[in-house]
Amino acid sequence: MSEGGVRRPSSGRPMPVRGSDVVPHLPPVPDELLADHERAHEQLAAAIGEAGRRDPAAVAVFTHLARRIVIESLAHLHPVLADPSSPLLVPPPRSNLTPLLLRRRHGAAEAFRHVDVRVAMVRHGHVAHPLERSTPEVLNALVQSGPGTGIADDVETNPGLVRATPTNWKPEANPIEHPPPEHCRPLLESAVDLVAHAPSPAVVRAGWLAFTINTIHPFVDGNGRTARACALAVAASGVSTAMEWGVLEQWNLARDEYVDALRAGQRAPVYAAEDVDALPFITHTVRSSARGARVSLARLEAVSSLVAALRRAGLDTPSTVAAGVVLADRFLPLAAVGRAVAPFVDEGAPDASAADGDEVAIRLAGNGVLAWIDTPAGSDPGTPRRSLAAGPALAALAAPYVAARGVDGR
Amino acid sequence: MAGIEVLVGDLDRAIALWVDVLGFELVDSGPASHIEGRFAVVTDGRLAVTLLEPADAGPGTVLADRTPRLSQIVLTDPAPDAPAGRAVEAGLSVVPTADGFFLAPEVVAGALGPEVAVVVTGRP
Repeated sequence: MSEGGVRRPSSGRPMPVRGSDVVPHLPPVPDELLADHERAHEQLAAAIGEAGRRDPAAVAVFTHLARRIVIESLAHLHPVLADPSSPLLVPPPRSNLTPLLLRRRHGAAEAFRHVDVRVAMVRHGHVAHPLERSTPEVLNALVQSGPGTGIADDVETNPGLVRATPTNWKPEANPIEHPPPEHCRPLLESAVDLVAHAPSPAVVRAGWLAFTINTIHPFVDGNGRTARACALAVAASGVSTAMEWGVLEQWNLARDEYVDALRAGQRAPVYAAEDVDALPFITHTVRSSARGARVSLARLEAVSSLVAALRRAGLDTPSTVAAGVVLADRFLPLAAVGRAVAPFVDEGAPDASAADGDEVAIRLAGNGVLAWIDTPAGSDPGTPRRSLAAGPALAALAAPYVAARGVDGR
Repeated sequence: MAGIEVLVGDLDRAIALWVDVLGFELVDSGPASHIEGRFAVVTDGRLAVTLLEPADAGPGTVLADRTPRLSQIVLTDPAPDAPAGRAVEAGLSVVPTADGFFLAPEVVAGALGPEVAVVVTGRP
């Protein structure tokens, strides 16, 4: 069943209309595409359930890793290895972030928390829908939150407020002129209403919503991040795992496909509901989500192997989770590329000031998983440093599976 | 040979500077292949400089940000997989190419300040 493309007057039946004050049509999607998507997510949900029954620590470590990847993708940070056909299963956290990108990551983390809570509230029956009419504005404010960058031209861009002015539209950069500002709020509210009530599968509505927000461009800044956060909430409401773990990473890995799918539906000089086509982006979304579920499944298997190895070393559950998180964030990537040297924490770091992960890492040095190494003195040649690095035990632990890449799944 | 790519506002004036003043040799020029615009390559045998003047209109891809700037630092490495692996390990963003990889401008900006791509190619 298709939706959208209609304006519902307060007093009567839906009335077909044309123009810039109507949301785009929500088209049907081929059944085989949806069946593949459902199959991929059912497999992932079953595997997470099984992994949790076997060892809850495995799911905890997987969730930590998947959450980090989703937040980096929501922030639209370039992935560590931009290879959509073969993504890293355990990518290290992105580094070398400018102050602006650090703020984007911070804002994405805040927005993710909000999405996570809303999805949980839907599951527990406390709210009816993953989005309310105010949610896009809330998420827009959150994605733009964070510390100042110290950059002179770091100007405020009205976070959380629907734009009151036309966009600075450049035809060479964007193929479609966005709707006028007075239409933005009604369009945004219509979009949320449609997503709440349309009978289409959640992943279809998620793709439609991301396309629609990107096309309406209702905010001065952060439109892409807001669109992705809203879509994540909707997509997550349609899977039986705690979160939709695949689509944002895949969007971020295949950036050209993401942009091409958006623009394929925006081949009109000026926004009008009947002149834009959400189907290419919806199709891309369904495929991305299915592919992401399969990558997540491979990632879960890798993390489960790691956790099983840590269990064999005799760690209890809290220590296994903490060690798994430290290894996934800081050491497995090193083993994956065959190097066992990386500065981590100074040997003399006082425990009182060390993060939890640091304390666990120091403990891991006691059993050879990590090892103390001499590191270059850096800017202070008079002060030799000792740091933790991946030790031989970790290299042996990680070797069978960490270098593995995700499935292609196309 | 190492190289750089510079986006310029006036290709003819840029060529005049590099060739007439600095003594480089003009070895190639013509329409740009990936975007609308013109390019020239000059070299002194040690450094290859690609000068790119993007156009503001045309049927092909029009570069959105045409601000004149240093846009690429190009390094040659016969075994680019090694630095690529170290870049992944460091949490940078590595984009594989047919003969090597590049680090996106936003990644380099996190270390150097200016947004400039670093391209590592296995081609001599």
